[in-house]
Amino acid sequence: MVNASKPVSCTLVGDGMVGKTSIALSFIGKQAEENYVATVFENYAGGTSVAGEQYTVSIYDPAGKHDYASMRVCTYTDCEVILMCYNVSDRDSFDSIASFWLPEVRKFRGTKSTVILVATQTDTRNPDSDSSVSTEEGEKLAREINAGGYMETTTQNYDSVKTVFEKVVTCALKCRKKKKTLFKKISRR
Amino acid sequence: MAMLRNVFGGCVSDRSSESMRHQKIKFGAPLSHNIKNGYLPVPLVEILIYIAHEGMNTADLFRRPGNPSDTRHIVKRMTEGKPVIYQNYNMYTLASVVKKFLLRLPDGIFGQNGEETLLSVLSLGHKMEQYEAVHEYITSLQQAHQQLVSLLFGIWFTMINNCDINFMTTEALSRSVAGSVFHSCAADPGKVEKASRIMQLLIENFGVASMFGQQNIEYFADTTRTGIHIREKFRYEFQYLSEEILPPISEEGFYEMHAQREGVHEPSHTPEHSPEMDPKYLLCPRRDDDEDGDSTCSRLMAASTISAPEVSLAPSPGNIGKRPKSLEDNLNESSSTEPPPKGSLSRFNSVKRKQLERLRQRSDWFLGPANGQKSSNGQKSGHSGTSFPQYTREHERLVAKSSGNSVTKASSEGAALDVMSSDVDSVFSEDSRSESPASEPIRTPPIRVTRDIIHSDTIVDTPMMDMSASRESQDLNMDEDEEMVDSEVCYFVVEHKYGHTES
Repeated sequence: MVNASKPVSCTLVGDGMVGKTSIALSFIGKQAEENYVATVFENYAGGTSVAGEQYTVSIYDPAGKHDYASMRVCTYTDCEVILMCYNVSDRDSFDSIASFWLPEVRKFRGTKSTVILVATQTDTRNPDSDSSVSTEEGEKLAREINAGGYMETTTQNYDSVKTVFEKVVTCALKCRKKKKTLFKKISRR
Repeated sequence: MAMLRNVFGGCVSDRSSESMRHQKIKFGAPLSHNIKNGYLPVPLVEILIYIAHEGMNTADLFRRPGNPSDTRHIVKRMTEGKPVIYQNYNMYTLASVVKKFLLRLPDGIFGQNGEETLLSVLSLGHKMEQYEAVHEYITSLQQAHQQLVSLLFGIWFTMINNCDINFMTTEALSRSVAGSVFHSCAADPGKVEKASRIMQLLIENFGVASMFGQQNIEYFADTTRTGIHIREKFRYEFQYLSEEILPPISEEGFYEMHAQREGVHEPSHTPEHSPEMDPKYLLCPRRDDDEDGDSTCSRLMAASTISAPEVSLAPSPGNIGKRPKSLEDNLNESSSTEPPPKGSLSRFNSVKRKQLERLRQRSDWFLGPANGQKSSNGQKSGHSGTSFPQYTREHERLVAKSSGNSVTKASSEGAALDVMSSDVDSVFSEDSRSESPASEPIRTPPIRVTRDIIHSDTIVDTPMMDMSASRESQDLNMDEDEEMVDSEVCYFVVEHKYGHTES
């Protein structure tokens, strides 16, 4: 059954240059442009199947620049799942998650938002380097921020990108189910 | 001047400057508060200088946000007036501090009205008008405000000229900073696009003296000790109306007619005339420092078009003494030894050949027996200068006067102005050196050309030729197209040098 009528929407956030647009492009089957310039705001849609059902995932890709906070506000309220991205070989972008992105999301979405932590560009990870962020650190952060999941991905490997968006769908469905039961509970009264 | 003292940063240690270095910067206060003493707060200038020196080869500067907690820490220290050791932080963090400063300015650096004024510049059709409008706006600002703007845009300008190293193209850079500069546009993607277009214009043409103002460019060059070498190339096209259409008229009649028609779009008389190229414009070179400018201007009436100045730039960042050679310097040097970007030359040649060929054909046609009925105007076509002696004389005078160096003039009248020119312009501009005659006096020290910027748009309109002499040298060349019958094309290359270059 095609469930295209109810697309799952998600927003990619994270510092500039971590590869948000690359992930989105890779998911919808396009090559990331060689010298892609900064994104201001983009919107993508791609399909994925979870548990035998086809889902459309619409992806908001707002600017990663901290300057454009006002533009991101509307995407926060519209989406179901937020993907927080950082680059594994750029510790600053990892630090930004806790110190910038999480507060921003919390501010506009409240604490009950569904967040998935995404580590990008894992192919560039260099375990010897201090600036590299390890899987353990990522998982730890994911627990701390109460994320719905921690994913590692690289655009070099399409499967890893696909898994991220499958995770998006499962999280969104879980969230919808919760709301439904809550709604039922209330209506029963 | 306080600013200048600061320029020599580290080596100055007298008390007054010491106290100025601990000036507090209020993030979030209006700009007027920070420049209430009439000069920019020293720490702000220092951080910009540091970025201009060290950051120009940093990849993706102003795009990556840097470390958020370091950014906060620096902001806090600057607010308290405590010194910050920039070396301890990475460039991205420092750039973030600058962006944060801009972002926290209520209404942004230009203010609401200023943003509107600048955005409205985009609706002007011709680059020359745009320059003028921007110039008008910038000069209306307070001096310290102007200085801040020129420091910022100077830095960005230097960055895009090193974009082969730092990967920041104009587009990427202007998108990355548009949000902090144009506050009114940050919420809407469409507006951001617009803001980034005006940012591109401002950044790319920072070196155009008629836009940012000579003083501001000099200020940037001196303060950051960046050597900037600008070649502005102007293309003038004087078009004489085709003899078949023009009734025989006297010379006075000709000028009168033009005066009447000024501003009215006339159908073009040449078959391949580009629609947007309206030949009816008054050539009116404006010269800031020239007392004769006005009189010249009033008499130079001829249909003319002018192209955008092509600016080839050679900002040579960081020729800085008293500083250990850094990796950046080496990078910089290695890049400067590379030959300037080429690739256009062959295309340039082929286009030029084609153009000449066409001109020749047309000139044959014009001079051929079919055109027996010669008007007073047409008769003289083919003899350079005779048909409009007054005008040509003026023209020559103008050139001679403003050059101060060598002038080569060999313009002849030729085929009507032709669309080619609009797309050829970019070709011509790509390597302007090839246009310079060999006799050009070379007084310039070796230039560190990192990149040529090309203005591909052709501008038709009102001309503005800012030939205010630069401090070190100025060359002006006039190149020519040969065998032209109906119009005259001249190129002016104006060179400006700012700041310290190797001598």
